[in-house]
Amino acid sequence: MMGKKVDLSKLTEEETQHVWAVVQRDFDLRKKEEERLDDLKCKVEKESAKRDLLFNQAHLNKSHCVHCLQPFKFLVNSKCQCQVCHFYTCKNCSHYNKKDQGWVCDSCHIIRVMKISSLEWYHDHIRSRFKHFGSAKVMRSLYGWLQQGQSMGLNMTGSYQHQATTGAYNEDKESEDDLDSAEVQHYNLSFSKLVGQGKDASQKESLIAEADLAAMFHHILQQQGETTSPPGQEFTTEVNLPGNSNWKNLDKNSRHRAGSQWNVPQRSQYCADMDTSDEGMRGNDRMSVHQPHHTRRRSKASFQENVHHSESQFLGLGAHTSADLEEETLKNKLEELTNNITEKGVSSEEEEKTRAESKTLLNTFSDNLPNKDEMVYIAAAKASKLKKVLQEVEEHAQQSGTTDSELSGLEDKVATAAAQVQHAENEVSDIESRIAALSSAGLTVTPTEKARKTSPLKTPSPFISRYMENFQEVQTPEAGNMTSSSNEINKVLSMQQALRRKFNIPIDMPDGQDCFERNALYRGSLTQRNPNGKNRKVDRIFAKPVLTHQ
Amino acid sequence: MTDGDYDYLIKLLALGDSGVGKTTFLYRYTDKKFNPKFITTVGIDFREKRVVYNNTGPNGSPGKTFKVHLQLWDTAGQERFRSLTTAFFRDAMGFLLMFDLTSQQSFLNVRNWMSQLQANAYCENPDIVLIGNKADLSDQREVNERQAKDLADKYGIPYFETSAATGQNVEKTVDVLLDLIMKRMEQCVDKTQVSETVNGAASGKLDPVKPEEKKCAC
Repeated sequence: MMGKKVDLSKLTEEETQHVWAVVQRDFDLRKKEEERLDDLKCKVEKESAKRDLLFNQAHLNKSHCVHCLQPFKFLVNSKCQCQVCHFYTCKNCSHYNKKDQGWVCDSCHIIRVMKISSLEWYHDHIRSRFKHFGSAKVMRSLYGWLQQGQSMGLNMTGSYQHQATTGAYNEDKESEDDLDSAEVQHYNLSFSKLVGQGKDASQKESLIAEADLAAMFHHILQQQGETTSPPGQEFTTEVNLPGNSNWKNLDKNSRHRAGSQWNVPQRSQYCADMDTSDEGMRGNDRMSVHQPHHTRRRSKASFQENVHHSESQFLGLGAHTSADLEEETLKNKLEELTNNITEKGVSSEEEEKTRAESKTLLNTFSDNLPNKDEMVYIAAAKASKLKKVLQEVEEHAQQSGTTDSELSGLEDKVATAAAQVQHAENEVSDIESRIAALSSAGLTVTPTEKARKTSPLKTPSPFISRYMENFQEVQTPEAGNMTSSSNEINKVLSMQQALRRKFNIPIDMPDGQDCFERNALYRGSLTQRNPNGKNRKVDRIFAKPVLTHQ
Repeated sequence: MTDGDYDYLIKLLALGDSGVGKTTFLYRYTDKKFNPKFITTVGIDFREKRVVYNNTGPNGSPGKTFKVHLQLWDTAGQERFRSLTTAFFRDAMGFLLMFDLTSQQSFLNVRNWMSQLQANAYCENPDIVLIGNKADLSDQREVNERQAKDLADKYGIPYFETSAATGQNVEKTVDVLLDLIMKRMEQCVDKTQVSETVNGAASGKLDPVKPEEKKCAC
């Protein structure tokens, strides 16, 4: 049963239409559910950000509800302590849990609901047994069936396959109900995610372009003949593609990611379900998550070759040529670089929040540093380190024997990165002045370790780090300039996270904070807060998870 | 109907031979009505319903209530749709495996449906309830309760005799299935929490085999 195509041959046209409509309805429901989960995640995120601000103000929590911030009053509004996070809330913001004989605050309740709703275990099961969820499988078969009806014929090119697996749905959506492009995009992203590159009206155009590319692959591969080891060669072919297609994809992905931060991690679950060519190609499936831009091309090429290659392809992924490897390292370094800079590059948008956040940031420092100036020192050290890396990258770029187009792409990056180092240095002086301002204002902080240790809501950092991790996977200079406000907040938060890490402030997360992350594939982030990282020093900054799971 | 104001989305699927009453059962459940006409289901369909779930504690004490949005998949029993319907098995978390109390054959086929489920559901032992439908037609009964109960015990699943015509046991059956699923959902989350705190960096999650290991003991 498994792995076979759905047999639609016995269905009449009318019946097929009916099935099609039902599957559409199911997709709508799935989409709504996904949006709901996104909303839940946002709620949790906001709440945890709020609490993060309160960690250092635990005396405040003694007199005020952590949830609604109302003051506690004897008898009228008495407080109770949440079993899970140990913060105090008023009874209106808590439920009494008879089973466990204790109070659970609304936030912890929402977190639990979200964890349960995300059905991670269920999706794990599905992933381990099948390629696609049921309606996706049927949708694909239906699409193939309809295509045959339109005499698209047997010539199943890569792009056709590609369409059938991913783009197809969007295309049909588009033509059928004329959804606006944002809608289409959403579908595109949620059900094909990384593959979805139709960003605007030019979607069809790009599909055609892709077909050309695919045809070219086909040609090259044929030229290379029946010689074994297609994976490595395929990869080479791909890297030498004209037009910097890889960079383009990077840009596109990063743009999308920067825009919809939260949607990103858990969507890839659908990616695993949908973003595949054919039954039985597990390898590509997995890889597509890690190396979206590469794998997409690869899988396309492999359709034409034929399905047999897919497995060896997966294995062959590690077998890059040395030039490829070098490029990879270069890219990674650049990504790290840009990322590091992004962390510092806080623009003045969302002034208030930024201010609030940096306050927390500084509080953290005043808690943990004898001398605030040390922070400046470290920031400066970071900047100089960035410079050094930049130099290295430049050297690498000169030495590497990549194609001209690739090189020019790299040079662009280096230039932007240099500009951003400059910016980072400016930031350092900015931070200096802020510290001066704060200390002159006589900011008093009473650090309370107790709250810090017990709260599962302690910091939004796991989210953020995961987000950042995704973000940096496709980081480009352009993405560094993004000024979306939510992005800014994340940047600040992640900066805080990075700094904490730098100073070995314990950030061990209790109770699997990340359970509600449906996307198990980005679990690499767990390494970031791995307790064995006790001796992480400044060099940890560069040990990005992107390296650990590639 | 599908505004986001619910806590959990739960997907159930009804399966069984053609004509055992899957569609009427679901219609009775969602709309509280009975449609005696037999209209064969074309391949696949689904209905939705919003219910309130009472989370009862281990000792039957009343717990929290949740709003649950149910997606109830209705499948065609006819053989010619088999390939299509089985593809949807994986999209459901719980199953209403139905036979007709007035048809011995439909009861015998329960075994086949069970093996279809094991091969096509999200895991090999999903939550299932066995349903003997058309309990109101006692004069035409071909399957006795003992027989059916034994079979259900063999599979370790609950058994109910229902009637879509009278509404007997219809809600109760779905509630029991819902309860099984909710319990599993909560257990699975609690379990991952434990296992994750134990082995800290569970980057082994990347391993596709791992979910298989912790399978369904949850």
